Amino acid sequence: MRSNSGIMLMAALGAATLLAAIASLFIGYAPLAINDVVNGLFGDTGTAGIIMREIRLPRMLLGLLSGAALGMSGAALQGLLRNPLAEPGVMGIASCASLGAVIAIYFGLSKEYSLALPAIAMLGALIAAGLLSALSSRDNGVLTLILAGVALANLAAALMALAMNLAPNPWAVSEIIYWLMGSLKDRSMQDFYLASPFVILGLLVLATVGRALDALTLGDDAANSLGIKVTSIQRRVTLGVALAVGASVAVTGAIAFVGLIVPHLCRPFVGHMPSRLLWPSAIGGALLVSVADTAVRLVPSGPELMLGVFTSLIGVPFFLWLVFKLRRETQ
Amino acid sequence: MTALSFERVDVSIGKHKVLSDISLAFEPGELVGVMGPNGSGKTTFMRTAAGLAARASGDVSILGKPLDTWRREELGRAMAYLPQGGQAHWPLSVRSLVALGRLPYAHRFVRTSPADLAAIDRAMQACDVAHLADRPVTALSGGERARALLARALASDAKILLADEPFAQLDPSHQLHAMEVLHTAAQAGVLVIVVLHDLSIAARNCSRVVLLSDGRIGGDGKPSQVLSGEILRKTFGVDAFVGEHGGAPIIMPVKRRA
Repeated sequence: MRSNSGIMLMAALGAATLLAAIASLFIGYAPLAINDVVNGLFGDTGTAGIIMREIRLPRMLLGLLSGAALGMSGAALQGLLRNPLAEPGVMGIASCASLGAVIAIYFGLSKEYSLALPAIAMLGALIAAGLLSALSSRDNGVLTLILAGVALANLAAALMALAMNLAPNPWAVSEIIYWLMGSLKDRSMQDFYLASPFVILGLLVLATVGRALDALTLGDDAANSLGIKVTSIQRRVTLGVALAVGASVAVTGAIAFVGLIVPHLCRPFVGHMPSRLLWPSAIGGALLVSVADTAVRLVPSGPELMLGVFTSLIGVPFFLWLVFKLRRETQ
Repeated sequence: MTALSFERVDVSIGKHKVLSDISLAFEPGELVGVMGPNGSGKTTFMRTAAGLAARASGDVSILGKPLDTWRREELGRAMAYLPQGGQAHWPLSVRSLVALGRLPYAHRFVRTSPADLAAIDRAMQACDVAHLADRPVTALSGGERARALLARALASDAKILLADEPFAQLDPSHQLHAMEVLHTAAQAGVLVIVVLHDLSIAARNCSRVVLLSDGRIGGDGKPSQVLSGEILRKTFGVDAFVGEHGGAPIIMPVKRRA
């Protein structure tokens, strides 16, 4: 009965996501008629074709991709750490990916090779995952993983600040700052082709830990006694998040709060089971980022609102509401 | 066949030696009470039996097979372990929580088989939580949650059941009830090892008591032999009233010794 409600949720979210994605193709700065949109997608070689295939389509696809990566990573991390406040940012993986991007911008590599930025950002995420795995190898449990993640995130933040501190000119600083805000603007199909295999691989890795996350509801010892190898699950989640979030941050920058919010919104619909939360959170994340990225195009703000800024603006009130709700429940 | 055996087992946590030279063998159908003062190594003993604590030396065998050669999932079917102060981190329904006990049987394509459902229902009935099946486990009282967690352990249908202080939060009636549940499991041939502090409940129900004292075996045998006034004085430092009611013992600590 409850597994049905999970399927219903996924169907509803999937339908909404499809609508949002299609809508996002129709909304943009250049007014295009329905005909132009359709023709532009399928073969038109004029302006409409360029706008659709090189601007709106990659933007839509990257929105779905990064949203799915953030949503499922958040769900997996909250399940692993048994902490409702966990999200990809806490573990230091997103920060290390950002640090990689900042390094690429700082040394001017991103200007010379267009793939340098995403490649170095992903390298940053994988190095972070490697460090976290090494630390979680000695039967240390979840707390060590959280503390190590927080330390890593702070170190990455400090190094990014250092890069801005020492930046040779104000343009480099503003480029770094803009990049850190997170956006889907001006991304190409090349970015999508680069990120999607890693994101999909990451999602598939994360999808394998569902039952283990269920068992972890009972604590590490009980999960172990139910046949779950807790250390290997920690490594698998770390790797999955590094692949999915690392690749998505590498092309979009850090889009805040999606990984935190989406699992919370889906959780009541799946009976709070961590295993049933994974795919709905992926679809919900794709929906949220699609909608948010369409919304920033509609807000008449002069320069476009950066997507990461927008999600933070909705995210912070939600976060506070969550904190107060948790307090009420525990009192 | 011996269900669980310890042979000259030493366990250390950091530099502190928690268990020294433990050799014990348990048969199927025994209901063993593990007792001892705080810090005497009871929980470490249970975790070692469950393969969760690393041994410094010695061997543990489960159903005749060395512990280290068991695959984790197989071990999960053979042995259920209920940790002390059991927790449930998300507001799962009681039924979903109990169903976690079937994880070692995980099937690749179906979530729950008819055998799983039957075992889950049986365990909920046995622990008197069937009427709470749809309640979120975080909304239960401590005692109700403890019963739901015991049902989770029972649902595994394991040959060995290790329960670390399952009675700590139960009211007197449910303490007796939970003890009956363990008794029934033992009569069905399960080796039940339970950590508990209530001397009378242990004396009246356990078929055997293992007393731990400072990480060593301070007594092992029938409750009447192990829980004598003399041994209680030595191990716990208390004077105890040892009496009888309806042909079964009552043991009540009455005074600390200086």
